[in-house]
Amino acid sequence: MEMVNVEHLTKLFPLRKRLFSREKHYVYAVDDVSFKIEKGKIMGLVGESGCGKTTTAKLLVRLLDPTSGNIYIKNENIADLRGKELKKFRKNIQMIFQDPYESLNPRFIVHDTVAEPLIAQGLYNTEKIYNALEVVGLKPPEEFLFRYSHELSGGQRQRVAIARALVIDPIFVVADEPTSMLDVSIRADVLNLLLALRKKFDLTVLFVTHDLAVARYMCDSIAVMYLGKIVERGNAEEIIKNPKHPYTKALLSAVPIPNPKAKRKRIKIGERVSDAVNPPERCRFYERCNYKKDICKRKYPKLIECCKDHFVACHLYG
Amino acid sequence: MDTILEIEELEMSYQTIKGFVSAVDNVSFKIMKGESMGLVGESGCGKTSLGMCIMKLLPENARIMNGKILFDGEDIVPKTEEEMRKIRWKGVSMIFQAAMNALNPVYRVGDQIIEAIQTHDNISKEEAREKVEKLYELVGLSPERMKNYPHEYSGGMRQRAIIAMALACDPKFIIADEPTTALDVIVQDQIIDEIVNLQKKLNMTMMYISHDISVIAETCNKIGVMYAGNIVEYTYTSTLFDNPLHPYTKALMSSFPSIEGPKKELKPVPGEPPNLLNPPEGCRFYPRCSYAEEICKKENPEFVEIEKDHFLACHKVI
Amino acid sequence: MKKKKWKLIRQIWDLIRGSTFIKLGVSIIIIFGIMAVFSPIWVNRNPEIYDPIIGVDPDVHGSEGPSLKHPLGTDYIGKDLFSQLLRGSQIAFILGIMVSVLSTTIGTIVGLVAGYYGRIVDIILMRLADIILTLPRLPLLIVISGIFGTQSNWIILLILSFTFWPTISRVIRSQTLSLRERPFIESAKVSGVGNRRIILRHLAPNVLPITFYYLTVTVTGAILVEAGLSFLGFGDPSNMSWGMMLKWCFTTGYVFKAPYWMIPPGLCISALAFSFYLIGVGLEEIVNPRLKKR
Ligand SMILES: Nc1ncnc2c1ncn2[C@@H]1O[C@H](COP(=O)(O)OP(=O)(O)OP(=O)(O)O)[C@@H](O)[C@H]1O
Ligand SMILES: Nc1ncnc2c1ncn2[C@@H]1O[C@H](COP(=O)(O)OP(=O)(O)OP(=O)(O)O)[C@@H](O)[C@H]1O
Ligand SMILES: [Mg+2]
Ligand SMILES: [Mg+2]
Repeated sequence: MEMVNVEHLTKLFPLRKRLFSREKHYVYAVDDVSFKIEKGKIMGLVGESGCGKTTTAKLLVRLLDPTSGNIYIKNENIADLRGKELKKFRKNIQMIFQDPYESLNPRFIVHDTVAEPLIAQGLYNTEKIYNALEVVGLKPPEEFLFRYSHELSGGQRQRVAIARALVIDPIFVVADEPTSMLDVSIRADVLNLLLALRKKFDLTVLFVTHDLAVARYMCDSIAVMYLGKIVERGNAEEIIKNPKHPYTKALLSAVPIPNPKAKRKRIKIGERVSDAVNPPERCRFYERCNYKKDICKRKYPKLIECCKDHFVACHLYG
Repeated sequence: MDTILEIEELEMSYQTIKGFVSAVDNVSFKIMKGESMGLVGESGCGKTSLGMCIMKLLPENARIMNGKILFDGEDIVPKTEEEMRKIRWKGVSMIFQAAMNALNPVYRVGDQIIEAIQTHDNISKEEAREKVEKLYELVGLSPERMKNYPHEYSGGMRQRAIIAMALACDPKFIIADEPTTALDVIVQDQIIDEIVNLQKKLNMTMMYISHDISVIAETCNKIGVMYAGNIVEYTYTSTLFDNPLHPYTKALMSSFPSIEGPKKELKPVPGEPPNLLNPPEGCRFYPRCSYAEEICKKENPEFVEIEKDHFLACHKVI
Repeated sequence: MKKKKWKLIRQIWDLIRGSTFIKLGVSIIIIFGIMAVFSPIWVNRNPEIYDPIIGVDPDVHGSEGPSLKHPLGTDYIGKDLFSQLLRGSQIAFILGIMVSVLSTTIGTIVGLVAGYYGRIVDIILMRLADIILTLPRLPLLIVISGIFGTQSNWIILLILSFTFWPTISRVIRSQTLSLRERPFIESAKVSGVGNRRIILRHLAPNVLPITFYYLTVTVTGAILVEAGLSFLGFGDPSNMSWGMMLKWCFTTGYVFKAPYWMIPPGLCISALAFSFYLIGVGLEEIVNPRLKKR
């Protein structure tokens, strides 16, 4: 069953107007993005800094209003929900943020933080708070309930953030780089926790990361983003082992391997030159591509299915 | 091969209101000419502090309590600031953590490097400029870029400029402190490639600091694993990966996902890194160690050569 | 949970006790507090002589220096200067504190609302603040006194509050703008927390330190401005304040002749204003590192 279905999602940010200039400039932060996530699956969203991962995540939890496009969660379009209806629907989607130092109010104790979603939805229940804390491994809960966030370590903080996200039993969780700010030795712990919770509650997850190795470990499917567009998506192992898009290939070839004997072949591509401000019609990757053809300059390639469940947006295929 | 740097039982603390932070404790190791040593460890374990000890660029509240730092056979610990200034840059130079974000935004990048050279070398502005041009070519930047301001550089170009600055006085020994941490994978890969090539080409000795063991695995021929102010294991990269002995090293290796090989489950290190303000008595890793015994609680293990060129600090293995 | 709250209050108390600035400020304020309380006692012994407005000592002709009967001397028609000084401290306290409470409350609320809602709400409120900031206080006072036909401390209070809040609301707004983008606010929004609750539970406590700081600093401002207004002759004629004492000293030509008349109110104005300023500085010292500490 499809739990999440995103269609033609677009978000433009207007740039501050220049003096005496009449043209409007927009950052195409997310441009015509479509994907589906099956119930109980984790989809990874990977890409370089500034490619629009966080913007996509925030659109899905409706922290930002989409410029256009549809977001179906359990067959209900939430892209245009407002006011009371939106508030009610928020119970179903939760988000885990990148920086656990920042995503917890410094003046709240753990109890207040975890209780907040329940209070907002009118479902306050002490037992649920205890359960949530236990489930994320903060045992015994009594020991943590009355602590301020600065009295917790980084890993514990992120656990509190996860408990807060899960306490109202969401069906869809968006995690924006949830481990990139954590110490190396606790990172694996939090990743494993997320995997266990996914299994336990049959959660559907959008997992944003810039680390392909982490994406491979966590995700069932992966979508690769480049300057606001999804350039390739499909089964995780398939993307890692058999990438099609030149950008994905370059990205994968640049990941260092924790094994001194493994020799990897570097694919050399240039540094990023263009950004997503009023991009021309051509392929966004055009300047950096080693395989560019004439047509790439004229037309943006459609995302097509090149093999089963493997989609790529490149003129080399199809 | 000659030894270029030898550190003996180095101990350094920061004095703070709350007490002494023992950031480097009982560290001993040797680096031969032409080698590249990787220093890997989690955030806050004292990697930068160790680098700063070697540069003798310590903040006011830091004290070297004990130990020797022999650079080219000379102990630099008792040296005055005046004498150190001669050794710095020409002898040892450092690529500082996050230096690429510390470039002064209102001066041209080229001028900043020229000025840095002139404070250390008694040469004319013209000579300095020629030198910077050469350096720019060396690190893969076009010399025309010298007249640009930092914000006109991309992240990777800024890091290249910083590397050029560190190489300005032909140092024999260079410390690179997390030179790629803030960069995207593709750019990170290019910078790593550049650093490795430069090190070989200029026959420099290098100490590469990183929290990412896979980056170290690709750049260095020796690895020192640091935990809570101690170096716990030090040997050749290939030896370490084939035969890791310290429990922390093992744990660290199995907590990194990889895009190579079959998908393995991550085994996190239990617990949290210790607070260096009051480090545990005895072995600093024992609270998280699954092999811990009575003796580990009481005595800090000695750092000994357990096989040729394989140093280790652990009660269990010996 | 109760216990934790008490612990916090005790921590704050410990911090306050540890600050020399605050201790000094509070000590000065306590002295003036005693003066304000002492005022009716001093007057009521013999209102005919000692009332600061209508009492006149019949034995005195013209201004006289300090004596046992009049510790600070008398003014040009024989009114007791000490009782005027005591009454002045009452006025300064009441006016200063009321102005500061009123204007910081308005300023904080407006700043929070403008900063949080942004867009049109922000534009309207901030333009309003700008307009008020550019209005000169003195002509405003004259016009409004004209409308009411009299000058009273109430009008002064309203006008001071009215002209003080925009500065505060600007600061609170900019703080709110940066808080609004912080992930813990976004996290609250994702959980479905309503706007009012976000403002009250998340934003307000985080700007409160700044509000407290302005609470004290505004007292300083109010005391100084009131003194200035009174000195220029725009004070409440039915009452006596320090500024008005100075004014009478000047207008009756005793400036260089009667230091016992001029120095005490001048000193009091500076001291009381300074004491609240000290507390403000002390609070800022405490609050800022705590704000920055993660
Ligand atoms: N509020 C905003 N106003 C204007 N532009 C924005 C805004 N938020 C994001 N952008 C722009 O949109 C683009 C995508 O940003 P986004 O934060 O989604 O990237 P990201 O993939 O999450 O990057 P990172 O890996 O650095 O977190 C960037 O070019 C960014 O500058
Ligand atoms: N100037 C200082 N005063 C007091 N303590 C300090 C100071 N600088 C660093 N420390 C402490 O010393 C310890 C080691 O810090 P250091 O910067 O060397 O770590 P690191 O390994 O470089 O970490 P990172 O990977 O985050 O750069 C930390 O616990 C840190 O809090
Ligand atoms: Mg992001
Ligand atoms: Mg460091």
